[in-house]
Amino acid sequence: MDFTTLCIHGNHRKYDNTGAISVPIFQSATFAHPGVGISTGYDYSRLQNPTREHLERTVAKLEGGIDAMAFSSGMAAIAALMELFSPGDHIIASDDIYGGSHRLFFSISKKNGLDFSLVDTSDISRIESHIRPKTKGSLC
Amino acid sequence: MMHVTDIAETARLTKRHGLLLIVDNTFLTPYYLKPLELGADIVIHSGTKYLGGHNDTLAGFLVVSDSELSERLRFIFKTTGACLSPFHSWLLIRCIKTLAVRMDRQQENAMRIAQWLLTHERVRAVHYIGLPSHPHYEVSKRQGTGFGSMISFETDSEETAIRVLSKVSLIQYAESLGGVETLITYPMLQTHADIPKEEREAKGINERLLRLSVGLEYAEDLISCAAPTIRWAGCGQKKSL
Repeated sequence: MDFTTLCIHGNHRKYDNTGAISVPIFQSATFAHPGVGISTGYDYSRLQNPTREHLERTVAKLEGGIDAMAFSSGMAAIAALMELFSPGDHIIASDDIYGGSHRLFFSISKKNGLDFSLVDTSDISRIESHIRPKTKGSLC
Repeated sequence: MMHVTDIAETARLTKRHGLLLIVDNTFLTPYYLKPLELGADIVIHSGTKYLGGHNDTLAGFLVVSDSELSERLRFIFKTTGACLSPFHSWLLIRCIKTLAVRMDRQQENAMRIAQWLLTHERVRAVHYIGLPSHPHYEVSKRQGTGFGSMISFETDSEETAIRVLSKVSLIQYAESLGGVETLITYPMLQTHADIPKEEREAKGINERLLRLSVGLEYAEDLISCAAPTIRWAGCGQKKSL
């Protein structure tokens, strides 16, 4: 299917039986269990919520990925991403990044032991020349 | 400055060294660029921008194409808890339905405005990746299917830049991008304010640089709004800030 169609029909899973064209807003923090050790597939909205799942599946489909996580802001997404790394890890990032990411890297992640090099990532030789044994990622 | 990274080439390098390649796809969206297909490991988005597209909702995304990475990030996601609410998820679902048509029209508008800016005597440089004069035009064309609608341009003086920011009306002086409303920002004081001055100026983010996120208004109306603000500068009028 074309991208334009996937923007509208990117997720085939149905979340209710009313025939509603628009996905319902499941405004629920938690979900009741049908029995001990049995789940409807939804337990608590921080883990997953049907409305958010529909969005995440749509975005994953559009990007050609297998999974997408929807965060409360872009900065929440990049802050969570930093948790993939451990103290001592080095990341090479574009020197053209948003100021908020710069603040995250150098005021918070650095304090937590991560190290950053900002380079012009449009020039691959500059990325390569900054790779060290502890380099774990490149962000552009 | 709108630099463009060659993702496939970078992916070959990062794979060789066992690094994760993370690509911020906020400016182009998957409609114009699919970093995972080019070899990136993780795509990150500020969903507040083109995906949301209406300047009314904050959101962010991490997208992966590998199940082990998905598992690790899902663990962080559920544990740290900055998930999108059901209502805001619904707004994003609704917005994404029109993503492709918005992107197409915004790009059309951006091209028109970039070409107009090029002809303006008080504009020293126009940075738009859709212009063949952009140093990364070829790589943009090769790896993606479009150029988006983000333009930065350098005016002839600080006075002109401040005049534009303080006099625009239809175009609004506000931080953010990607929405149906055209916004203009002063990178030096807004998006890049936290970057040390020397570092910022080395990249050309100076007192003359403005950034435009072109929206869905009629392009000629946007030009009619911008034209007098640029022309007035240096015509004997004092700064009114």
